[in-house]
Amino acid sequence: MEVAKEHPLEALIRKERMPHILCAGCGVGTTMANMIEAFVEGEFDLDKIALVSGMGCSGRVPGYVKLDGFHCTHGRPIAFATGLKLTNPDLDVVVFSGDGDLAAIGGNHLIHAARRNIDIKVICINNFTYGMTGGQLGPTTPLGTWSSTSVYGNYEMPFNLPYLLCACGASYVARWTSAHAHHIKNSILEAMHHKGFSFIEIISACPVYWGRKNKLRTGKELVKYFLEHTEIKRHPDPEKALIQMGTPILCGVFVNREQPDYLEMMKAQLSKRLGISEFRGDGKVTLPEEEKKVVPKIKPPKKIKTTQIKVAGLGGQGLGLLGLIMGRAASIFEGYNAVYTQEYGPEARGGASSSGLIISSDAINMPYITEPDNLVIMAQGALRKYRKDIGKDSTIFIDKDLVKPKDIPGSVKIYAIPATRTAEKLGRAVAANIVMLGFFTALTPYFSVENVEKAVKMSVPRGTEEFNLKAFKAGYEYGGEYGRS
Amino acid sequence: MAKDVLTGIRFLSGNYACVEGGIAAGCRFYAGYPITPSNEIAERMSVRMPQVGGIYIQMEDELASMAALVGASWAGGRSMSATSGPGFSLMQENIGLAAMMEAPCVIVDVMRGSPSTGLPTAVGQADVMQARWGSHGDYEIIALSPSSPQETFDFIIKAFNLAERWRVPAIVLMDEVVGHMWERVIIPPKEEIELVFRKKPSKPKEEFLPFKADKDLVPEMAIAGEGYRFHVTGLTHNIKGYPDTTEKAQAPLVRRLVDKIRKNAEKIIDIEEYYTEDAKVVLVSYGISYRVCQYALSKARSNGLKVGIVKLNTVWPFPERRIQELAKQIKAFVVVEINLGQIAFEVERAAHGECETTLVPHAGGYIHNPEDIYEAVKKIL
Repeated sequence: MEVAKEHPLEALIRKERMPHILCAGCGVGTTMANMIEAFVEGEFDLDKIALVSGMGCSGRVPGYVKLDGFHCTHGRPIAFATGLKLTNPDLDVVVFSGDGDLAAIGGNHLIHAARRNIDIKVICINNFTYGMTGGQLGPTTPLGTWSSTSVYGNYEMPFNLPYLLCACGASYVARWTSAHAHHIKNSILEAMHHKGFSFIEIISACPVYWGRKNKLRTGKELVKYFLEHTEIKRHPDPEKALIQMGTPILCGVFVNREQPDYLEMMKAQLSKRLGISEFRGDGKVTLPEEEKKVVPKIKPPKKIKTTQIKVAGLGGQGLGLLGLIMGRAASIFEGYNAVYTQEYGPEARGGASSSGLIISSDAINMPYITEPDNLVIMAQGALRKYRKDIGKDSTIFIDKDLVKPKDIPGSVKIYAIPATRTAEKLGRAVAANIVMLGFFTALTPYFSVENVEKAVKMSVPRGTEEFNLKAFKAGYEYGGEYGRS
Repeated sequence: MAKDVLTGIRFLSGNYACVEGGIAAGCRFYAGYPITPSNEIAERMSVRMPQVGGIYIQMEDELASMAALVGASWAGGRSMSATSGPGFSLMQENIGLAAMMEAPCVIVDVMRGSPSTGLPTAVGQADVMQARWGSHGDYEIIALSPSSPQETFDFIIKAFNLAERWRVPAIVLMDEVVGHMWERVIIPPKEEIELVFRKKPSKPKEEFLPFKADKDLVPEMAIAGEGYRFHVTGLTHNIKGYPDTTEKAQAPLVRRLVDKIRKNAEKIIDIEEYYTEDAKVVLVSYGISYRVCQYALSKARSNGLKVGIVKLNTVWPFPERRIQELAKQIKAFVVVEINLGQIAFEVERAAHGECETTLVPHAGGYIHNPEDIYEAVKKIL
């Protein structure tokens, strides 16, 4: 008879790492061995499996298995795994960690990964305690039991993990105990073939830090307890899966449903819109060839002194856009240096809206408007607010139907246009900002008509270019008349 | 429609330029959590990543975002996230993991007023020390600080290249003003953008040791799914990547994590100098504050005051050698930053008592008044 020289799983064990740190009777070893068996039996491409773990006894498992393994920070393996999977969706990403790591410090990641139904498999060793740190109370410690931080008996309600995961949207949820080796393997196989967030809870023996203090002193006693108290059902009700000492531990597959996973949902939403069939983080998506582009040359601008333009009015008047169009005209087409800022923060709330543009043929170091040379004012409230900033050499541009030029120094030039009325006549009052832009362009020396028109075209919603250019022209012509009169 | 690098002359906010820098740098994985004043980065990323076949994912918090970045990096991606102070605090845990696992990635912190929730919509520069020391333990990172949308675009690319070259998390310290100001940004053609990639394994799989460094102290990097079957851990590890808590493993590992930056600092450091040849007072600054210094410098020079500027493009590693040299030839450094003293202490330390170091401190959610800088200079000269 031929005697096998090597255990069939030895090829996947990092022998140089033996002996391991796990205690005699611990359920982690059983689960790990069955996981490896499932990988081999299922003939998965072992090079494509990535094992991820967090802190704790079960977190050490990737360090013993000869696969790509990531032992990351406490509680974060699911978030880490999310990065791995979405960057290279060809990977089979398996998280192997404990109840404290996954459901306490990592609880937020657990529920959100389940909600997204991201295609990763989570094997959760639930040993009711923090074994690595000395047996403290965990989110799954059964009521009344001892832990090193509940020495009078636990009075915190534990999580019912299958119920939690089902509620959060995981598409495969199962529970077994470490006494059910065969079921563990089959369940892991099933999860590996399942597409979507899979969660397998393994109620696992921890004789040293939990059992010993709860009258289940050895691995053998714990296994016996599990076998005697397990109730395996074909379609168990997750609501009834809370673990209480002395009552049955409900096991089985709680949920196994087909449901598009995160990446499928993403593709369904984006592919048609964008004409891209694949999304991944490693840059291996081939994009349609784009035309070679060059950076156009900008002519050196005509010399102008540093000029500050303030645009103010009410939210909804499109004044942000007005400032932005001027900024684009100045910066991209006229070749000036230009800094554009929008009022931001609490002062921008409550309906007021303002933005500022500084243009210069020299470098602009200070980004904010301090002494505006020009103020475009589209609401009385805006005049009230910025009246103090008007200098004796300032020029102001107002919508004459909306703003009464009260209390303004006599030396200030005031240009007035019925911008909103003009826009209304053209068909849409909302274009008052563009009418004002035309008016401003006609009466100031900064921009050529052609350049502002280019900036308008690139800034307004597609399909409204023609209308907006008409509004611009109306404002410009009004300004021209005005200049002559 | 697919849209890769937006070559051409653009008018962009700093936050938008940050996104375009990421796209141009080959970033195809963005994980983040909304926070003011960095939100426009996430918003535009959610538009741009799908357009290049990349991933935008809004995580449940910044702990998760940062962990996902490290995971993405190990799957071979160029990954990035953006946040502001409170989120940056949460990221520190896994920035430490990235440093320990030597996973290249880029984190943008659009600095706002602080501490705690602070001034969400106003500027600050008080996260500079956190960028350097924010996670626990001995490690080094690289941090850059742009002063304009154009520099933001350029520095994001640079940050990716430095992160990949030295296998560290690279941090881009923007601030609220730079994030929200719009300026011209010139985006070169894709083929003219120089990209640096991490070193790939040069040894056969069975001989590959994931944490055996080369002469430059940087190890070659395998990625998940290529058959190297490596192990990495946040625990102290040996060159095989296995947990090893002995002094024999800890001492060389931590020393190397630190030395790969310290000993290569001169290759990484990037500073700009203005008028330092004859300066008696040198302003040291970075980010938006540098621009205010330029304004103060013009006034000082036109009044005959011999003032210069050292602008820190890389804040970390700190340009100690150059500061020390300058200290010997000037009367004083004046450090200008929107905090109550962070880089000022570094300057003072590097100056080694060879000259005076003063700080123009600032808080309140606004940039400095250039007059305050001018007055500080005048007082010395």
